[in-house]
Amino acid sequence: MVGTSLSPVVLPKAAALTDALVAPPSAMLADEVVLGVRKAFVDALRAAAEGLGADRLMIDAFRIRALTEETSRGEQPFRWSPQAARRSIGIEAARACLARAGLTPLAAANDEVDRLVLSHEQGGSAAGTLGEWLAQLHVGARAVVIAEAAGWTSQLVSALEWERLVEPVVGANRRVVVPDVPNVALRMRFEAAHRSSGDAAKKRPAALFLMLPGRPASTVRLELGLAALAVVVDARTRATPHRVIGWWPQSGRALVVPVDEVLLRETAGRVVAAVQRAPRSGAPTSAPMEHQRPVHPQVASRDLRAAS
Amino acid sequence: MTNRLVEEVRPDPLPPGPTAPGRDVLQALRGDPARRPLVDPALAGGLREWLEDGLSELRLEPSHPLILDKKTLREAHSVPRNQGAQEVTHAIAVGLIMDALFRQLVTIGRIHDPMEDGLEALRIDPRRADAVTFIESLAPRDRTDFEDEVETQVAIILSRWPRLSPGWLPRTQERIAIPLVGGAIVLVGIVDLLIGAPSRGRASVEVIDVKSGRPRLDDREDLRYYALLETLRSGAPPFRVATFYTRTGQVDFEDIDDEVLTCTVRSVLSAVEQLVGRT
Repeated sequence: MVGTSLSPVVLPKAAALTDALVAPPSAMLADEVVLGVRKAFVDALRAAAEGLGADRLMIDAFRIRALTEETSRGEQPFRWSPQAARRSIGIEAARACLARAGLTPLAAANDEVDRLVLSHEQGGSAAGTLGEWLAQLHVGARAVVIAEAAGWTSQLVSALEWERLVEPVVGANRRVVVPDVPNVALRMRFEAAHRSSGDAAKKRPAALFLMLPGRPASTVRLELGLAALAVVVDARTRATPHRVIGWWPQSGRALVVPVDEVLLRETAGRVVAAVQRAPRSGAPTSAPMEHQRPVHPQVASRDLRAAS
Repeated sequence: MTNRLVEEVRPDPLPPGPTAPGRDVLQALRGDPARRPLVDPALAGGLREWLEDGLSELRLEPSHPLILDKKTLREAHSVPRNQGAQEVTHAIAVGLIMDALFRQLVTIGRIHDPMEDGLEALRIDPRRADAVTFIESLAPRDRTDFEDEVETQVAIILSRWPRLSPGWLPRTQERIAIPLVGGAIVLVGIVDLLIGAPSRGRASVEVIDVKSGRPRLDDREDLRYYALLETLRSGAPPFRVATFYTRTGQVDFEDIDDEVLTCTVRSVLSAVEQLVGRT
């Protein structure tokens, strides 16, 4: 099964997406299954990574897709652009909107860009950072960046009924270094995570929500699986993903994929294949990192119905 | 259906007083919220099925999806022109600059130096390199004419365009991509401005296109195409579509109903049929 498509005509869409995110798990992966998948994955990856340079290879959705579509990344160094910056700015803007009732995506995106520029001007950001790039932009170019970020933020803030989420994590974009394979990292990226209520000291099931550009590709199941696999591999997380929801606001498509052993093994196999295919002298690309930050539902409540 | 052309040319800013600049434009754009129609939950699905059924009868190759935008569909019934990159002309360059300045005004609420702001907005987008080159290589007299035209249109925007409430979630240059028949056809569009929160049962979104040229009959067709895309994407039709003409400050708007959307589906199917038959 590829996953379940949410009907594109159900309204309000945010309610349908939130229903999918907060629904109780239909089945949970047993700990021994998770451990088995992780061990097999690490063993296979270690063999595949032999001969890679010391530079860390980042496996992200693009590399997963490139295996099927025969596209070439070109290994160009990362450069800031409005499209590359919109998520970094947008995540912070979305967090601000969810924490402060009345703050709008447009105002929040403007505020975040101002903050980054000010921080840079006060010596708080290094060369090559988003703050430095924004600071040297002319007002016309900076407006393009803010516009892109505001649009992205609007899409995320209006995608879900946030007040229904328990201890939501808003935005994560981390490199998960695979244990014993220091030259390979998985990109753990999602826009929101909802953890079912339970004992905070124990691992709790989590549903992940990803907001993606364009339209679903043929590799969509594995791209969503990569987010789940990264959480499973990451020793820092205390949650086991049970469901991943992909949302493509540009096309209005949504896909719900349950996390099971088959998905994790298929995704792990694709990651190993991507590593095998990587140029042995491959240089990793670098991209902005964000850190997950919980937003409490008490302050996340916001009624967008008044915004029409 | 409501078809109206509102707003006469008004070269001077509105006088100070209780009437805010662009209030009448705002009224034309937003209408009466109480009169916005309830969304028929079956409409978007029905339109999609109609498109899927019609397109599935054509010989399409899913491995090479046809990406169709408003221009491709508009020209489907005319003699095919050179399929290469569109050559930048004076009018196109003005249009691109005005799109960028309009976006800037909506986003940060001000325009500092129209030419410099506009050029910098184009320079940050590699796809606009040709337009930047075109503008920078204009002869001095042509460059002066170009700048005069941009500054005149900016003055009209500043005097006519209303301040939008940020709570309406204005989104500029919003991309829409609707894959059909398994991805063999993708209907795409970039909407200059969308305002209104997503529908919760009543039509709540408006689609606005910005034009720097003279009004054309095709402008309405472009808007209807965007209305169809938005309906297929969100499940709810926009309540209204509008064109804001930056050279006059006029707004042309049309309320969207089932009839408009079904006519647009027919038009899209007919255009794709022409295009596929031609390939």
